[in-house]
Amino acid sequence: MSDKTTPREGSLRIIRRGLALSPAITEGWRRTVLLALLGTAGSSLVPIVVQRSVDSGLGDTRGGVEGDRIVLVVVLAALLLVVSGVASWAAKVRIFTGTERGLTQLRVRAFRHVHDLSMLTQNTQRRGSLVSRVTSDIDQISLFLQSTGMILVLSAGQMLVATAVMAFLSWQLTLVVIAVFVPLALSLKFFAERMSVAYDRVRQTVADLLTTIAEPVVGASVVRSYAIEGRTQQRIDAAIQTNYRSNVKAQTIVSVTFASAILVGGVANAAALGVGVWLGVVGDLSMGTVIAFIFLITLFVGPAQMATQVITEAQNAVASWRRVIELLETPADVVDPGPGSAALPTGDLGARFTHVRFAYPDGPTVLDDVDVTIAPRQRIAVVGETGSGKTTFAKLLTRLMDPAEGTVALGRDDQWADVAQVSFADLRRHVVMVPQEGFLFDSTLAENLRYGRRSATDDELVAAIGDLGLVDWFEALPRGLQTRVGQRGESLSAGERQLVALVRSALADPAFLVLDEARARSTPRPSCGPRVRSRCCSTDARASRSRTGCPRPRTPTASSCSTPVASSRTARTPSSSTRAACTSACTPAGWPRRRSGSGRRLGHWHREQPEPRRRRAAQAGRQRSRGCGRAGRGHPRRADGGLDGRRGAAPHPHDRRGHVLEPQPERVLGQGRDVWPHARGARGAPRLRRRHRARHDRSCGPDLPHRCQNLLRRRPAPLTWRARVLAAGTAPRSSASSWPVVPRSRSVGARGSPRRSATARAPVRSSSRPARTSRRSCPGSRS
Amino acid sequence: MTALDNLGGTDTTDLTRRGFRVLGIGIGRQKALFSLSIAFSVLFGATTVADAWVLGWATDHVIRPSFADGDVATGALVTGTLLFISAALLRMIGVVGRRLVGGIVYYRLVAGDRRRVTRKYLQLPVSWHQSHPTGQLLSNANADVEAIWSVFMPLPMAIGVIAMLVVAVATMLAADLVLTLVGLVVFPLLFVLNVVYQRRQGPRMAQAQSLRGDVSSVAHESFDGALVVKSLGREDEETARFASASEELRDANIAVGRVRAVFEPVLEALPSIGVLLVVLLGIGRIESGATDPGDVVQIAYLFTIVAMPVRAIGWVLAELPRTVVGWDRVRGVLDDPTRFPYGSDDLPGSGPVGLRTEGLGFSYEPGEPVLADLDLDVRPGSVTAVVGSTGSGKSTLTSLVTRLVDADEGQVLLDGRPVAEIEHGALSAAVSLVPQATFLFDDTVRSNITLDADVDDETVWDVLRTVQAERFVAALPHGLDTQLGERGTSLSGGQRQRLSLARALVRSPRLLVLDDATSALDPDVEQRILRALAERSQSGGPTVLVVAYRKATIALADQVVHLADGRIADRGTHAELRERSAAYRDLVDAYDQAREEVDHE
Repeated sequence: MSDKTTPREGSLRIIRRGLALSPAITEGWRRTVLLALLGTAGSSLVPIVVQRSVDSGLGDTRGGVEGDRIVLVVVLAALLLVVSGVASWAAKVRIFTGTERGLTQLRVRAFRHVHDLSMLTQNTQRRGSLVSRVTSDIDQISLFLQSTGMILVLSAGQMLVATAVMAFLSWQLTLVVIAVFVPLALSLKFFAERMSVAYDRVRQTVADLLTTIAEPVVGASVVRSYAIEGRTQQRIDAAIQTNYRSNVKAQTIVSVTFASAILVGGVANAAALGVGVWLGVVGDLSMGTVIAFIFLITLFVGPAQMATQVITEAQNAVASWRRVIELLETPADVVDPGPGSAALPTGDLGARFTHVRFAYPDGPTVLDDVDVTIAPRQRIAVVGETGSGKTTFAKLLTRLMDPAEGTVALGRDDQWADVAQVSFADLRRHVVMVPQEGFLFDSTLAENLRYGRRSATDDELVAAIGDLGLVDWFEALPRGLQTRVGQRGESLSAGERQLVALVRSALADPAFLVLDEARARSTPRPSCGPRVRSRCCSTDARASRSRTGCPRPRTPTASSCSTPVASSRTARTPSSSTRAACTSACTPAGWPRRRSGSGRRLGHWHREQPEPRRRRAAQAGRQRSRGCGRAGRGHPRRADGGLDGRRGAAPHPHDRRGHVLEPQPERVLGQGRDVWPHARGARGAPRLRRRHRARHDRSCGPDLPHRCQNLLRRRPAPLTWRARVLAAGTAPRSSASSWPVVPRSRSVGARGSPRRSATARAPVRSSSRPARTSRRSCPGSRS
Repeated sequence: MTALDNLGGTDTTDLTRRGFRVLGIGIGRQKALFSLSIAFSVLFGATTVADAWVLGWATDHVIRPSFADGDVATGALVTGTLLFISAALLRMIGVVGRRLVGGIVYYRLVAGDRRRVTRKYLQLPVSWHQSHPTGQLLSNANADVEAIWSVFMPLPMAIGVIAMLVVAVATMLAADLVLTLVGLVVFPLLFVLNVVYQRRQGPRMAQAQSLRGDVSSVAHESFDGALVVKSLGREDEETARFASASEELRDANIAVGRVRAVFEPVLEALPSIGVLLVVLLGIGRIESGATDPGDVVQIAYLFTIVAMPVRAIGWVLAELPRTVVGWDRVRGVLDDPTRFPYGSDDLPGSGPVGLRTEGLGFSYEPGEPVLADLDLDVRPGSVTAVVGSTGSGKSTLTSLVTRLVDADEGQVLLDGRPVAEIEHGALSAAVSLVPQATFLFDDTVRSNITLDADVDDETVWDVLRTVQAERFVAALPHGLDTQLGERGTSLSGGQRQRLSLARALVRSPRLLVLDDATSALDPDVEQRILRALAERSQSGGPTVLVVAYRKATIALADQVVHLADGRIADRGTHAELRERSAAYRDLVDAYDQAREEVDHE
């Protein structure tokens, strides 16, 4: 964010704006300041008492001791001490309460703002730093205000009162004392800079140290199998030594600056003694005043000792504050227009892209002049190479981002509403995107499902699970809806998390569903393939193919056949015939074509389309038992919907192992470097651990498309949603293998209900260029 | 942190006792330096009292005579100023020494334990690592070690303060017995109040710390799930959730503040009350001629300057619970009895080795065998592909044959010699494993490949050519000298895998085990690499055991082993298996449907 804002603003301005953003801090500040001054005044009472009693005869007994007078002074001072103590208590409570309230306001505000920034969904690398804005940065401010900041305020008050008392007693001696402290004050900046540099160096060596320490931990098997323990230990020892040295260096600076105030205090004492005695002899300075000055000087030494440290920490706190403020001042780019701006038509929805262009800030254009119309009740797959803009397409459709040019509209027939004009509440109700990684919150299964529909009752949740044909899986869960899913859903396997995400989106019951396949790392992970397929009652693709007259595809790849979002950077939905051709030509390699018996299911599926929804569910159940039940029941261990037989909270041993082996350590550490400097001490560790887990999850990711798609394919239940559009994922290879949905939608168009055919044939707006790739790959089909 | 958070006032005496025992151990480890820091600290304590004594002396010998005579007592004044300055100078030396040497003691203790813990990590077997979360291990070597010894930061000062109090009471006794009584009331009271303060504050601080963690995890979770939150329109609910966590933290912080707000004014007022008492009592003592005004001033001053350092004792006591918790965790690692001894035999000969397993059985959890009764025979110089669905035990098999993990039953033999009897260096020289997950060190490309083995650049480049990595490495800004730490993230998964392969090949292993090590590579690149490998094998290169998915890869193998549920379902050539096993056909076809058609293009 710092690159977005102009030159660094002055600290004072930052503080002023920070205070403006957290009004609770400054609420009633006049009273607080008054109380604080009164509270710190207590420390100056002792020198005054000393001065009075010495001058009343305690110091010079020859004139007799005015005992009564001294007693009066002492009693008065004791009373004032109590008053000032109470004032100090009140001031501190007010400061603590005010700052904490204010910082909480700031924290929550910043949190909300982060969610309003599209940056969060655009750039996962920034997440770590965004989290630290609302956590460690604000903690830093809070810790500063509570400890060092408090010292700063109270010391300032103490010195202010002490100076006033000194000036009242003797202005000449006051000048002497100030003169002694001036060089120290002037050197503060120098020392603070040195200290700051030293601390930066320490932080850096800590980051390096953590990186190296992680080697034998994260890379345990590499270290072991190459027998490089010696080398690794050397590297660690070197890092420990570097860290040690930088710490000692910083400690030296801290020690010297801390102690130098003591010497200055001694010099001030000496000066006050010398000048005071001289002034007393030649002028009218009293004996008590000289002694009182020695007492008063101690009030300066304490703050002076801490000054360098305070300045350094204050700089860090202001830097944190600045980062939070900069975050808050980053304008939310995707703004909720609020209710009542534009209404989406009720019922089915389609989408229309008009001359849409998108480019990331300072990045290349991702989508250019995209014109697409997606009619309601369609299933559309978007395929293309990595970086071709498929995810961008999905995000524009769900308005997680706004296009740079052109408009995205939702609706049907002649009722279209620009998504930018639709209130978030309305939009999110009707358009739901299912990211491929099933992200779960650390809560119960029920709570996670309710992310889809917050008002859903337990019965509705169970019903939704049943609709998706996941009863077997659900019943195997140890505590049903109350099953804790663990951090990020770790108690469930990756596939199970995906299922939860699917049920969640089913509950949301959107008019428009977008499935985005998250960045697939690599090849389709075949390891899950066979098992899934063996269980899945798949459509006979060969039959479908022959129906369209498209020859059995020999060569097409995903990209050659993709919607031109990929290849020509111009999105289009091919016309119905083209699409039929294309999709059949495109029959992804992963599309099962062996089990002829499952053709029945396809037919089934078609038939049930026009039927009322309530009957569909019943059919879905029947169908399960007929079409898929055999595989499921036949292998009880696998009756969980393609999930490796993993259940509930008992992770497969491989899971556990995965925590160590799976992470891509160099990435983790690269990020660790960003994260650790904020995460001091113990706080950093859990965060890093989470990071590792995240990594682990993602590396499991490629398994998921298959399961998700197979589920969609094999269960009729998804059709009870009104959802019709699928936007595809990233890597072409996995796209190819995981989008069997496309041929289905084509076959639906070809031979489904009249309504479906009509929509499939509905004219599709597209840019002038024809679907070149489609034609080429499937020439015969156009006839 | 959790154990730390749970520390209320439970069984504090035991904690304190154990804490002191850890202190003793730490002192024992850094005897000389610790003693030095204590010496400095005692100097600081003594000179602090000396400061008060100088004021008392100056009152009686400089100020009073000068004012009484109306003439500056020059000689005494010079002495007084010099005394002030030299007391301050000594005190400064004491403080610098105390802080610096004390700090060095702390940092040395931390560094020492970090070395111990990491050495232990290097000794503990891979299976141990696999059963401990990464985050926990990193925290053991970092935060926990710091937690043990951070008590050493205030410790020297606390000991110096005790010395200071002793000296203070002694000088007070020398000055006036009655006034000393005030000190004997005020000092212990200060001490007790500090301890009570820390005891009350401790649990509240721990609570705040734990809530800080909660806020952080809500934020992490919410931002990580941002796509879900946004696409389901749950921003308001998420904000409410975060706000409630933040408000809990706020209230906890305010609770900490309230305790502070009560104790601090009292702790500040206490010495002042002492001064007032001293002045009151002083009237009578001076009137009766029992004491000098200088003594009263000295004792009064002593109260003002002693109050602050006394807090150090409270700090030490406050740190002790953390010390104990950190100690227990670190000891948990250091005292772990798991051993993984290597044999002492060499693996004689050169060229490819034969691999055989006999009745191999392994389970992660008792009763759930991952591998059972597995007999495998791999001829020297042959290429064997292991095929099987997820959970069939392929990766486990690779860990067993490379002896990262020991089998529960049966044994692995290399050229007829049990791996358990082979010396560590000899084993790693002969066998290279390329694991599923790539691990690169924060180091140069060259170091990542050679791992400090004595290999010349020509060999490195040769290997890079074999793994199709020559082009991209040459394109890196500093070639082989490019630091991957800085550039690691810019390498793609496939590039990292190729470096990982190069690392294995550069050592000319006699058995090469690839555990799905080419998953991130483009198929054609993969094929080129595997063909090059197969050629190497035929010309005296390594025996290859490869966990394979792609048909083209499998086809390169001399022998295919089909694993199912931890057992060998079938073995033979690809063609044979394909011919006779439907399960194998299903498996391989399913793997390759995508690939096949892509490859045919």
